[in-house]
This record gives sequence, C-alpha cells and structure tokens, in this order.
Amino acid sequence: MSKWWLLVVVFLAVGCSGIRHQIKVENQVELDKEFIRRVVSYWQNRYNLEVKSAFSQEAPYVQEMVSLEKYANYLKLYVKQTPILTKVSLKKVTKQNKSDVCLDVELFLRYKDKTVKRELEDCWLKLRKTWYHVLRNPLIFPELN
Amino acid sequence: MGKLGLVLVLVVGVVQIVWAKEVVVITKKDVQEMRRLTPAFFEPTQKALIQRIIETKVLAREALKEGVTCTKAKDAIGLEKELILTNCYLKKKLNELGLKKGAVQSYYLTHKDRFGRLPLEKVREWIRNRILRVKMDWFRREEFKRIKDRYEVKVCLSGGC
Repeated sequence: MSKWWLLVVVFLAVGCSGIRHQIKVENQVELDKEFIRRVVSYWQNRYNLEVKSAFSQEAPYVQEMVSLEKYANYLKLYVKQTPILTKVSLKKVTKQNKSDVCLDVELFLRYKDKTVKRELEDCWLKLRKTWYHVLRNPLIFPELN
Repeated sequence: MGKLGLVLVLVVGVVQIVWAKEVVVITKKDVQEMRRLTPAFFEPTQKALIQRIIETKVLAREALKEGVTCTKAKDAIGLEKELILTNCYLKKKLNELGLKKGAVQSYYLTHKDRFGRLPLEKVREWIRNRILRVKMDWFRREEFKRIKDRYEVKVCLSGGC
C-alpha cells in the first residue's frame, strides 16, 4: 500500500514540477540551430507564462522601455484560456540582414477542445552573438515606436 | 503603575516614533494647481489628478530626504516645485541605474530607417533620451509603490481633515 502512495506522490510531484512538454518543431528555413532553439524557447516561455525568462529574451531597449508588470499583463492577456503550445512551425524568412531576421511563424495552440493556428511575422535581432526578440504591438506598446 | 507598565509605555512610544508614517495632505488647491500644470489635451479625471498629486508629493519628500538638489526648483513654489523635485529625483535614480547594455544599439537597429544620415553621436543621444523618457513614466509608478507605505495620505478636498 505504501508503495502505491509513493508512486502517487512521485506522479504528482512530476506533474507539478513544471516539466515542459515536448514541442514539435517544423523547420522550413535555413537558419542556424541556435537561433531556432532561441525562437522556440521564447514562445514556450511566453505560453508557459515564464514572464521573467521571456522578458529577458526581448531586445534590451524593450526591457528598458516596458515595465515587467505591463509585460506580464500582456502575456496573461494572450494566454487567459491557458492554451498549450504544441508546435512551432518556421515557414519563411521575410527579411535577413547581418543583425536582424524576420520570419513567418505558425504557432499551434491546443485549447480544451480545439487546436488553433496562430500566424505571425516574428522579428529577431542579434547583439553580441545573442538573439533577441523584437516586441511589436503598437496598440499595447505604442511607446516602443 | 509598576516598572513593567512604565517599560511597556516606553516601548510602545519608541515603536510609534520609529514606525510613525509621515502625513501628506492633498488639498483642493493642489488639485487646481495640478490641473493648471497639466497640458489641456490630457484631460485627466479628478481621480487621475489626485493620484498624480499623491505620487508627486510623496516622491518630492523622498527627494528632499535624499538631498536631491535641483537648480530648476529653486525659484518655483508649491506643487510646481514638487513636480520639478520629483523629476530630478527620478532622473538621479535612473542615472544611477544606467541603461542595459545594448539598449541604445538595439533601438537603433530596429528603427534604423528613421535616422537617415544624422550624425551617429546625435542619434545615440536622442535614443538614450527617448528610452529614459519612456522609462521615467513606469519607473515613477514603481518607485512610488516602493515607498508609499512610509507615508499616510490624507485627501482633504472639502476641508475638515
């Protein structure tokens, strides 16, 4: 009997420990692996509401001009129905320079009863060998323009 | 009263002195003055104006406590002086914090088209000021949140406070 209890406790502990579920990555662009890892981890952080981690991946000027509190509220706005990010699909590079890249991305979000595809153009900036996300939402963050 | 009672009274007195909150009083005159000092196109509500006055008065007190000096505040009086003091206090704090490495550069890289052939030094300065101006807005709210518990605010718009 005690073994069963132990098993239940372990099961619950693993379930509550915030272990990330596997995200499928579909890559149709020729960009380096480190960049792709960064993109996937960013979106995973956003949908897991790991606010500080996602915030630290935003471009440094964004981190200065937007308060963490406003950023957290913005992320919560997007995930209020707690979807699970199941797949990230990198479709096409729309702009590519030495220090910045924009690409079309599809995010597959699983809600309780359906899966929704969110399409967006995602831009990134390279500073001292690190890629940063460029936050663009003129309605919520007009101050960034 | 025994010795124990005396000690108790003393302890309570000391605790009250140490933990006493400074009182900030907001009057009708402050609201009128803030309305006069706020650009008309903002059209703030009375509630927003009062909140702004509270933030200003509390932060100005903090500025005085920290000995922030402000040449612009020298000739000003009333709420205007407190507004100038608050700005100087926030600027000082922001300068102490400094900007994150890469903040100016990353802004430049994402808004490059806007600057054309302007000299780089001027662009850098403009961006730095722009970032600080935006940051000042949310930083003021956060700084106020940090210190507000040290003050007791009394809003006395119809007198009798």
